Amino acid sequence: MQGTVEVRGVNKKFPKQAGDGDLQVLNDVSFSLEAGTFACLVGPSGCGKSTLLRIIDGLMPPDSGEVEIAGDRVRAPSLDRGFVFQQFNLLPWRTVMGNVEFGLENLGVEKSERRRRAEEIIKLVDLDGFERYYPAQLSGGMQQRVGLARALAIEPSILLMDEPFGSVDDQTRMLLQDELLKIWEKSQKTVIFVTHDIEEALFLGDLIVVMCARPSRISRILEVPFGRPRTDEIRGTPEMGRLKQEIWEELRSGATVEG
Amino acid sequence: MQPEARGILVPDELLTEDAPLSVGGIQPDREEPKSGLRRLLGNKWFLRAVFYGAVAVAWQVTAVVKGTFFLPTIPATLRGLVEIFTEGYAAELLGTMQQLVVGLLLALLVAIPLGALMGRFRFVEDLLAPYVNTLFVTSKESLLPIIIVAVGIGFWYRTWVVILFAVFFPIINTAAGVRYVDKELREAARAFGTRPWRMFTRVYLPASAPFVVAGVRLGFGMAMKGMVIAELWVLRGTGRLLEQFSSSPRRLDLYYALVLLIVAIAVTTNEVLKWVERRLRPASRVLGRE
Repeated sequence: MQGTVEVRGVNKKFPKQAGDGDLQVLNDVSFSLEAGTFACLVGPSGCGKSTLLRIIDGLMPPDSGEVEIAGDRVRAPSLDRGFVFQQFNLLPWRTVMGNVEFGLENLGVEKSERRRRAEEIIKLVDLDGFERYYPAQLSGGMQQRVGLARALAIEPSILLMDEPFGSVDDQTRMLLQDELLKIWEKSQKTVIFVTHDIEEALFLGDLIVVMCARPSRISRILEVPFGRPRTDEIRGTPEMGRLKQEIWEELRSGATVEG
Repeated sequence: MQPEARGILVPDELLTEDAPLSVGGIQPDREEPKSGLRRLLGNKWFLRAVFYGAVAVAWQVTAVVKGTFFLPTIPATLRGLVEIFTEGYAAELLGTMQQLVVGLLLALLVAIPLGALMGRFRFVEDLLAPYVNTLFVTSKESLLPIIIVAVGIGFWYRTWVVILFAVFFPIINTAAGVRYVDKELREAARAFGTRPWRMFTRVYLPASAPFVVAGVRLGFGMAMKGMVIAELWVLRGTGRLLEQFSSSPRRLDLYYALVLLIVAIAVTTNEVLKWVERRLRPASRVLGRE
């Protein structure tokens, strides 16, 4: 059961910035994931995928519907889930080491053990030598490695990633994708990865949940046929091209529903 | 991957506000061949030496021309400075400063928690903001007579005046610092299971620390001002000395020396707190990013 995710009939509205009425951000969203699945939520910006991710984590309550993780209903964030943010959101007054240790402190892990685990994870994300640096001293890609390390350090069974590579340059993004897969293949955590980059979703995921905007809903869930471990070669295969095209058609038809 | 190759470490001495920030080693454009005069004008220490030298000369000339009844000469003031210490006047100033510190600490004890609550909880802000803002813009001097009525002119009088002068900046600054703690940082802390109390100590406090220290610094300046005014009003401590040196027998050399000493204490404390403030600002630990 550990690591399973069950999203049932989730609705969420936000008040509109100006004028009356609410903006429907999520409309009756349901899907379920088996433990160890790498799922990618793909959709245009504004389709509510980040909101859905926050509801799954418990950072935000749904208006109706529910999320169950490992059979338990989500009511608040838990240290069984690691969150990686698009804008990294590292504590700027803490060093790399301090940021990675942050969740462990909340878990009540004793200091020497904390240090040991943080060092291990920092090595895993290839940041050894930078333990005493502050976030502002690092590049975006490196900051996101810290963000990933912070999430991995608490040894969660589920990793929630909100467009984590959306604010780094293309080369760094591909590199980080490779490394994420390597780390994931060893740990086999459940991952929910939000992105608007179709190729990224196909390269990383087992399962792609395609979301459409206005009204926000899941328009399709498809399985990715590529085997594991994945290598960069699949980026250039005709199959990749065909699937990208297929998902793009799906997104576009979703967009025209709106009229 | 050597650390040196990927991050930029910057020594603190480059971070003073005097040094223009240069990112990635790029300096602002400057015309290369400079004449001697232009280089001198670009040197702030040269400019300061010339300017303050001129002020000192003007002072000395005025003192000599108008006579020391109106303005003591510079050497006389310096001798006065020595006399402040040898004649025991400095002890009076020390006593004043001790009392100021007591008042300031009491003010901070109230101001920082209160400001933190105002910044954190909307209802506390709604409740207290009108009161704080009104008193903040009110002339505190106008309240001296009623303080005397209430507590007399002893220890509590001066303490209350200092509190009244010093309390508002730390309240307002702390509230602002806490209010503007990044929403994203709070969300990240929440995602990693941070409970309310730890949220306060591990996120709100460090994030707002530079604001709090800035508030303390401004509060200290106000405390100095309040203390001198309070003592001049009832002719106690340093205030009594200032009054005594400026009336008969007039000792303007001692008067100026004492004022210089007060200014020196204020400026030094201010600079120390500014330094602390800079150290607490995370962004000041670096210049650029890749």
